[in-house]
Amino acid sequence: MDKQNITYPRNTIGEIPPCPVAPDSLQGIPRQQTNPSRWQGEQWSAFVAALQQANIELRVAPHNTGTYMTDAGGLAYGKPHGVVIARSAAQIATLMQLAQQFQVPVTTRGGGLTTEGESVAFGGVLLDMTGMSRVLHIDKTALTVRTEGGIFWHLLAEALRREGLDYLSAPLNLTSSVGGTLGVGGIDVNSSKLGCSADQAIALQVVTPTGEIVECSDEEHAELFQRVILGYGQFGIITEATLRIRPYTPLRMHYFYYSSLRNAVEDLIQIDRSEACDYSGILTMMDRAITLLVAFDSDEREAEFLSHHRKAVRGYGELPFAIRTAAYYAVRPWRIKEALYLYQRKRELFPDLQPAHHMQGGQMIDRTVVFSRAVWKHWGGRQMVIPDLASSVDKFVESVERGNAVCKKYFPHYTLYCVGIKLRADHKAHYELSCIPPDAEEWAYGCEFEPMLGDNSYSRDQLQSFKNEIYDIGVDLGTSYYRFGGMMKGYIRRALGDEVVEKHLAMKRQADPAMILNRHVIF
Amino acid sequence: MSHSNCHGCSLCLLSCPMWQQRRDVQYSPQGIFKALQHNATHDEIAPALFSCLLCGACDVLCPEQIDITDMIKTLRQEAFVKGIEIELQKNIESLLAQPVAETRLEENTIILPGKALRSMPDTLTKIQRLLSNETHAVIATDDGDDIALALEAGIHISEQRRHSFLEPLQGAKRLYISNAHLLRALHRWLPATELCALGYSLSQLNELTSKLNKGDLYLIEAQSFHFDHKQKITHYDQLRYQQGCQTNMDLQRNAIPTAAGALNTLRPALDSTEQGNWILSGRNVQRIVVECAEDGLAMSQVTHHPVLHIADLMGA
Ligand code: SF4
Ligand code: SF4
Repeated sequence: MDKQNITYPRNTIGEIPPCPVAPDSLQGIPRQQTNPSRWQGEQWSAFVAALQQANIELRVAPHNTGTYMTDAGGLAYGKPHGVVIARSAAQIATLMQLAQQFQVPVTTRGGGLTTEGESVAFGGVLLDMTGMSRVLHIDKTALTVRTEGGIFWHLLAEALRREGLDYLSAPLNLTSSVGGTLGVGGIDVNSSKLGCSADQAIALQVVTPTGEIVECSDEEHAELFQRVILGYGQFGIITEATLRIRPYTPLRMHYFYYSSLRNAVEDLIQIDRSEACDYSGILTMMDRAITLLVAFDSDEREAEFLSHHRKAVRGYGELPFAIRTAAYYAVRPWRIKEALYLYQRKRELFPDLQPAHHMQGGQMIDRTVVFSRAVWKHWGGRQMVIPDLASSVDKFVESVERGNAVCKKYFPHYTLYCVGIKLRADHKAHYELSCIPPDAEEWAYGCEFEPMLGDNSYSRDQLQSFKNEIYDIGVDLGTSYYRFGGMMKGYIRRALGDEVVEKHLAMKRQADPAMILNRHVIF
Repeated sequence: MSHSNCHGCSLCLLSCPMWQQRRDVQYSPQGIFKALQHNATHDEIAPALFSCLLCGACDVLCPEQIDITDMIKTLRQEAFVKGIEIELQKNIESLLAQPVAETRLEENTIILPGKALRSMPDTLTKIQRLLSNETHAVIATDDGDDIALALEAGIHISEQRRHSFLEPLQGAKRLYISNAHLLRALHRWLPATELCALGYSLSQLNELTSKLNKGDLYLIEAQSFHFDHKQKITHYDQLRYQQGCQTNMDLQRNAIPTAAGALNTLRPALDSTEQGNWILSGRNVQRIVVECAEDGLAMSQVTHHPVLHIADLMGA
């Protein structure tokens, strides 16, 4: 269609409502964040007719729209008016031009692995990016891959492994899409060495909110590149991405066990600083059994760690830790239920972290699959409540300890997952208004707080109160959040301040005059 | 477990050939179940229902342990009752109605090779020799191709046809069955008989597998592998490590199927060339060895490399 002829009517739906978290809603006061109100469908029929004329298939049957009713969080519910399966940049460009013209909200969705409703459409169009999910080109010499944006990380890994290659870092949950991840961060157990997934991107093809197709990178249209990377889908839709990749290596894994959260977190930070390992992270069963995972890409790196750094790690091996834990509970018989839970959980979880058919010669050959399947099997479910805090190194221990106290208050069983993220000094501009805290230097750290909901039923208010208390810690300490937006967006302004939010809001208004693209995520 | 247990995690998409070819969630277990959760009619989900290869990879992946392939078969049956895919139903029913000889076989060991293998007499003779240990193995005259197709499609099999198929097999102690759908049904119909997947049994013979090497791509028959994944995964993993051959397993350790199933051949929904190309993509292969003759036929359409049945490794 002829872009010159499009007029953008004065923005009315892009009005920003007041921050839903009132200034007087102080810590510990239960309150509920709610779904945004549904877009009412003004000009919908005219928009549908225009889409039809442009030969863009729109699915409006209830079973089509209902498929996308919620996200992995399972707490936000909304229905789009219609669904478009992404097929090409040109198709999306036309869709966006028409959406601007008719002021129809467009919500993009990859794997739908958000937890605060960021990929849920409250009316308007849901653009399912998984329709564009093919690997376009692998350059074995330059070690780069060009891929469509809607691809799941798992499928990218599948294609790369055939060539003896691997991505650098990706979220543990491999049904996340590349495009979605580049927009929010992407943290892996090797992020303390290689950075977040968003930092792997070399170049992107982006469809802007007004429907231009633009190739951008640090060299070309650098400002758009800066905004789209870690941009939470506000400044464009990633239709293609060029990513750095590397030769594939299996993992040599080691686990160290702690009963002190502080010791484990301090050791994690210390190991990361010493750059003694290639993968590191903490996974806990409450604050009683804390596992520090370290792993290596080569025998040499492993040997060097064992001879030079192992001594400084305060964690125990599996057997000594089991004996200590048994002794602890032997003198506290009233906590037998907790002991049994730990034992049972270990029995269920540990075999799935090293399944025989994904191991060879003691090495893990498919970390991509093992972690992802374990995540779904042992942490997945109808609802996933995973508030988090992302902080600088200095604030990390306190963030984890305070978050842990909140978990304890609300739930008998929960997990903490902590990892470091190596930062790129040249990407400061990418990090503005994102999960990377503004005061972080060299590394940032993230901790997820996930209750084990099991078969218990918790009210939505209770779950929300829990999340609010975690997010309050972020406001208090001045951290950022890894899951950053959707129903918790009110916290962004509180934690990061008005100035940076206003700056980005002004940029958003300029890039997206009708404020239609992923409109309830950040602003 | 029912469709309402699906919480939309998308794991089933990762190994699903139907989704991989369409890149449209409607064509996946997730899409089918989510649609049903929102009151979709059988008509609305029929395109996906009848594109599914029933390969069983999704059964292995679903964290909710929904028996996806069984549900798809049931939904197909219900669709036929509602008059959907009437032509397909008629075609299969006419195959089921064809008369068959009903002579009881006296041998202890009977092989049900399936149509493609029956057209490879030399290979079949080798299989007979390989599987004749204490007793001579015979080839069934009626190996239930029509029944296998009906099982896959979800078509009702009359008592009469079932009887005529089972009667000759009643005296056997051991059956080797090529078709995975038939194998599953026979577990219910002949519970006292020892039932073996033909391809899997051949893959356990050292005199054959010792001939596999680095340049070989060994094609595991997907359906019977996924139906019994826990038990068979170790065997095939050992095979590839010991012999250094490649297999059609993906990163999830599911077998990528060809689209050579009987239903997809009768009513093509998925492109077998695309499927074959995906199996070969990025692999350095000199020879393809299959344990299912139908897979061999499909692969020979997409490669110039030799494609041979595992039994043909005998004396090679
Ligand atoms: S049986 Fe195979 S083709 Fe059918 S839905 Fe499952 S994975 Fe897909
Ligand atoms: S794997 Fe199971 S629960 Fe997950 S989307 Fe598929 S059918 Fe649903």
